[in-house]
Amino acid sequence: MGTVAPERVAAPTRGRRRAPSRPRRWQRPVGLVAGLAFAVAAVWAQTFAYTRDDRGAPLTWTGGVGDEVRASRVWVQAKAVHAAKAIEVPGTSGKPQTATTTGIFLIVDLAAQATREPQKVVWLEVLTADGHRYASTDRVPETQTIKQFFVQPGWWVSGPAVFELPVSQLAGARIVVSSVRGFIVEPSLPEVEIDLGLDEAGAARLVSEAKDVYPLGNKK
Amino acid sequence: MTSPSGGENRRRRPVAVPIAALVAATGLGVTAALGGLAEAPQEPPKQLGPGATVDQGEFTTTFVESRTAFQPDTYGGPGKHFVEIVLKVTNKGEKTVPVGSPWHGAERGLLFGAGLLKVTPEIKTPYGPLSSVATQGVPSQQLHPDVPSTVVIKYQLTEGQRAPQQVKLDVGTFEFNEGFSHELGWVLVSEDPSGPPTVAAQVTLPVRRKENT
Repeated sequence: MGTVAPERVAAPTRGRRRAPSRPRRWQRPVGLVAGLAFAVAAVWAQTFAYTRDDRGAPLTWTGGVGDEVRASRVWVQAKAVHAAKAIEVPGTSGKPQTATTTGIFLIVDLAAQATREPQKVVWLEVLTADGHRYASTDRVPETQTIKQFFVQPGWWVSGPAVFELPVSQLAGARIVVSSVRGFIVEPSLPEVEIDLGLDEAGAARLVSEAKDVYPLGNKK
Repeated sequence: MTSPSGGENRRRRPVAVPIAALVAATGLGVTAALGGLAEAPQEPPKQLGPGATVDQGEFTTTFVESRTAFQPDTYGGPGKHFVEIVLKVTNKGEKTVPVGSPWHGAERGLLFGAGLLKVTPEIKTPYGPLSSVATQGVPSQQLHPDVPSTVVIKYQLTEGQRAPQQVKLDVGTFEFNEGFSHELGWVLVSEDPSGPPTVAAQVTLPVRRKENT
């Protein structure tokens, strides 16, 4: 039995070895074309590769005002958009303080729910049509905004997000909400981007309807 | 067999080495004629006064004034004396940047404050300089893009220290660094990569004295 097996193996090997020594005439152009095709395919496949900017970029779920936008960690809904020239916030000593701005305050009533684990909304910013990013204002204490809550699975919590930006930047503005932005570097962090649906006319209407003083926190 | 190969050898003269030597010698000569490899003398920083505007790359900064300020204690006592530096800053970047704090002694400056490299004479202050964006009402720490903001930097004077007649600020500039593998953002311009940041301008502001300070 043992002596039969090597012979069987040896026979096809000899046959295969003979083949490359006599290439058929059509094999060379076919090989060239196939090689070229592979090279082109490889170059084309590179267009699908992550660029350097993609690698650091978050995964973005988008929606409009009123939509329940479900990202991988939080659900976010923008319920209403207001504008104000000044905001009244409860001061530390109980006396209300009025925050003013050289631009305009943009107030977005948000609701949020976690998908699995308790989260906090830690990052809020306005992304304008020309790509500028305005972080939520620090003239309003976080305890008056949606940032104060733990967002849990199963029920909605509501609170405002307050931004400060030039009036000219309102048209085309979107807001970006994200529940994670920490020291631990994770790739492709989730974020929710909500288009506020403000065109030039909508922005002008928002500004004309802006309250002189918007009371925050002592409504309910 | 040997004669043709010998003929070929004679035709190819070894010219590469002499030419290379000539080029090297010329290069050396030109370099020497232009002053050698010593570092070109650096441009001295611009000397500016109150009201001057400096383009810091990421920011456009106007140096408005310096003044003294006094804050009485709530429950009586000696009160606190300050030297304030007032700036008008516009963030030209794409993102909101906190004001941070200027360089102070061994402490590095942070964020916008990183561009204020040095204050002469050094003002001794117990808790480091404090900076904020002032408007009426609630102060802020944020410089939003394209929004001109008034930044006030406060140095609390230690007891017995008098405010200087004038302060001189060393101002640096920022440049956007694309980085190699990831974006580094705005970083201070430094001529010598391992050395301190380059002083682009020096702004001298007389300290305006207010009553009762």
